[in-house]
Amino acid sequence: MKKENSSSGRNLLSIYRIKYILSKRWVKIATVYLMTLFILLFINFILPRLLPGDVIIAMYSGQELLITDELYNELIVLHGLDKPLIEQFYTYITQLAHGDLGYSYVHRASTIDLIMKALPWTLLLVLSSFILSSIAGIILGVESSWRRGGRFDRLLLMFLLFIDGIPSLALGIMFLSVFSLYCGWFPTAGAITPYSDETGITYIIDVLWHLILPLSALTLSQLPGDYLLIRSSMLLTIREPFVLTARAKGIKERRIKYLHTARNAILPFFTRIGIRVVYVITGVLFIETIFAYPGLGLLTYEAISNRDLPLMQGIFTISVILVLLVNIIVDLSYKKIDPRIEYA
Amino acid sequence: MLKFKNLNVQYRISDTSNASDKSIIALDNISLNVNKGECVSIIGESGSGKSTLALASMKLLSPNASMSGSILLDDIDISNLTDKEMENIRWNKISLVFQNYGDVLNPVHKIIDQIAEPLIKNGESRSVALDRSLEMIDYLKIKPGRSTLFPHQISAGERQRVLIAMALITDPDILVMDEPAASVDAITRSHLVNIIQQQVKAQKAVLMITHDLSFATLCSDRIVVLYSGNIIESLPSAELMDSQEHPYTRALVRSFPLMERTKELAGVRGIPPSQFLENKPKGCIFAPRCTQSIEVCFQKRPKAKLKGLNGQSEFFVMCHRGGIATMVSVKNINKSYKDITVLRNISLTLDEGEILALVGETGSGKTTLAYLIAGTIKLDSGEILFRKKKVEEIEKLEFSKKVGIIYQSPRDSISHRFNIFEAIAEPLKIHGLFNGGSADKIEKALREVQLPVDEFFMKKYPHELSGGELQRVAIARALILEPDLLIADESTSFLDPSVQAKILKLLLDLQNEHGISMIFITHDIGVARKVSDRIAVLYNGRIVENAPSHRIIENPQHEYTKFLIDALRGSKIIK
Ligand SMILES: Nc1ncnc2c1ncn2[C@@H]1O[C@H](COP(=O)(O)OP(=O)(O)O)[C@@H](O)[C@H]1O
Ligand code: SF4
Ligand SMILES: [Mg+2]
Repeated sequence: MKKENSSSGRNLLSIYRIKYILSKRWVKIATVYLMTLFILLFINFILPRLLPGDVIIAMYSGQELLITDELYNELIVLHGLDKPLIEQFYTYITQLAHGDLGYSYVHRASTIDLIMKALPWTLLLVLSSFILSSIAGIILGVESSWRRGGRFDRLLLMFLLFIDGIPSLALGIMFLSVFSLYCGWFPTAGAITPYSDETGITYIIDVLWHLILPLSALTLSQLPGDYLLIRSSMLLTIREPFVLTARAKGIKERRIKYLHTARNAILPFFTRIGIRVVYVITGVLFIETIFAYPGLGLLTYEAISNRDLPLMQGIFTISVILVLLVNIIVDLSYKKIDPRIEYA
Repeated sequence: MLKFKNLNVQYRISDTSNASDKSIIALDNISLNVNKGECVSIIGESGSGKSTLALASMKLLSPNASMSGSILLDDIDISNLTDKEMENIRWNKISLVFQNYGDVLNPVHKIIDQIAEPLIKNGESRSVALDRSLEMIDYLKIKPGRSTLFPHQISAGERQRVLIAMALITDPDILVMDEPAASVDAITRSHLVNIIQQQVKAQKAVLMITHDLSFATLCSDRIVVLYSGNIIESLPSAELMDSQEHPYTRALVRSFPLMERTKELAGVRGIPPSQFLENKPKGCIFAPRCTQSIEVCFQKRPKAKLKGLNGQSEFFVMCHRGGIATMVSVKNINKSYKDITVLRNISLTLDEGEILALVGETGSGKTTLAYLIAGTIKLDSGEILFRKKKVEEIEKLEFSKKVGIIYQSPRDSISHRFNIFEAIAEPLKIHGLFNGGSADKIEKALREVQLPVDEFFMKKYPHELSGGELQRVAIARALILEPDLLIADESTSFLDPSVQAKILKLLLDLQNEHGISMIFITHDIGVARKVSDRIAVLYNGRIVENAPSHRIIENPQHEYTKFLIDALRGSKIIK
């Protein structure tokens, strides 16, 4: 076994070794993420119980409900608030595991149902804007840095810095008033035309028609950050010796630009994906509210203005899980993107 | 064929102290041919412009560089071509093995893809390109499993070979290699020598850039020495180690650790010149560090002096004095005391800046020869020239300023009636040079020989010092007049080994710093081989052997020399 000579035998061995290391890495990553998740859930659990005032009052405060002492005690028992904290937390976690995120008294619906209805719209908006802004940011950043100091570079830089200075809220309002209210080209609210019952291609067109404005506003608010990141990373990478090597090899300019330079310059894009996701999430909160787009952002806004604590908690939990998921995916794919990364 | 004609490269760098830009001269009027089937090596210290030349050959200089002159690849003058036009020339006509540091290879692409890339660009199919790359990887003896790894996963030596494989993959006519042996082990290095020789055989023109002198001699027939952007010598590689002609080349060789070298290493004295355009010297660029500079060296640029019988234009030295000059030449001299013949028909030469060891047993005539050269005794017949003048015709007092002597016992050279200060001041007084500045000068001399400079020490008398200390005083005294030639006569023999080692080191350092010539007289060939460039063995009043030190030690010709070396090694018991 030790003196394995056939090359296939050796390959097999190395595959096992890689799998072994991978499994160890998996264990590590999983532990870190589970711990993070657990801590965040605990915060989510404990925070309302530490709030000044009373949980029950807070929970029902959005309601026109007269809370008598009797009712109060009943509610305490109903929510298990008379039990020890540990037991309460255990119940909280088991309920969560069964997909029970609580009940919104404002909407008179289970929180998870509300969230699941809103989530697809937000995912549609966020993902498409994330992809669009990344692609545009990369192309513009690469082309701009390649012509450093030229007219294209200077104008683009000025323009995007200007856009960067506008808050996404203002950007949304501008888009809404110009293109929907003034020009009337796009709908002012919603994700689909109500009661139209469209199907197939017309449905998709309807969705896109509603999507365009919020998507453009969100993308435009993300673009300057992505562009600036790529541009500055490119300016550093252009000076790397391997770019000169590629030029020496007589490689075509476009290939040098993208395959050799940009391929390296986008690495910080991925390391900073966590921060960028946070940007998009704050952006989407404003944009959905302005365009009355029925996603999580709008739901959050409503929950806050109605002081709908169970819904807020539910949204928080789901967001936490989503963000952690994104991070896991990035973590796992990062080695593919940058082969120098070794998980020690 | 690769040809540079009057190539000048300057780098503009912004000066932060004032808003203006400054220029650095990286290459100064370089003309160089590398023919088909020839490997030419460029040697020089770092910063001398070697990499700049490599980059210029492919028109890859950084944007802040400006260039004039022409670069010919066969018949194509690339100096005015655009990047677009260069695309097809690069890696097809000429390839470059980049200096192996940092990320010369792209960190995110597999090495095999990087090797194959130029082939694919040329329209080769991917599978053929990969096959050819695998063959090339094999040719360079890179382990097969390495090909699918990324650059950071292989060793520096392997990366170096990947760079070479990448350069060879398109089989270009011209190869430029920038320090290809810098990061490889000895075995790989000799494999590289083979590869380069094969490329030369295949009629490639190879320009090899290296600071590894022995690698240069192994790979190439011709060596070009670059100093601060100037070619200062071009010589056959067989001559590099023992018969270089430029003082700088000699200094470079002296600082290079050779397997066969016996002498201690010595750095090139002084500091490299400023490369700013505004400080460009009028005269020889090496003059401030040269051991033999004369007035004209600071006034005018030297012209190339062609070497060889018929003055082949490819071998030359740039020096007003035509290369390393002879300081002393001794021709057929004889000397006897009464009826005892001490020296018979002795001839030898001593170069400027050279250390010659005179080795022989007691009574072999070493000291007599030294005194004859110093002009303190008269010869019977023959002649001794010092810088082309007959020694006996040079004015005595003047000559004694030029030659410093350290005697066997310091008590011979330092009168017991003088204290230390007076002993060192005496030569100054004799030459009427003692003045207000002399105290400082003496202090400096004492510091140079690593002695204390306080009042208390200077007032001491010779008998209060140890042998080692006194010998240091003797050295300071011998150097106070800044002589051009220093004769040290058995001046460390009486010291114990540890003190002797220190004094020898000191003598060598001072010789190197002052750039003077030295005749080192000793009966101990072991000491001689550590200090000298050349050894002359005296036996029975004759010079029986005179050659570079390492040659004498490696391969002694005369029985007597062999005897001395064997005795030293203790391998043979002498009857
Ligand atoms: N891009 C650059 N900008 C400014 N100065 C440079 C640049 N490249 C090299 N130099 C300068 O040019 C001189 C020659 O450098 P180089 O060709 O790299 O020498 P070598 O390869 O012999 O070490 C050095 O003084 C160096 O500092
Ligand atoms: S002798 Fe003069 S010209 Fe020759 S290397 Fe020395 S300084 Fe330069
Ligand atoms: Mg270099």
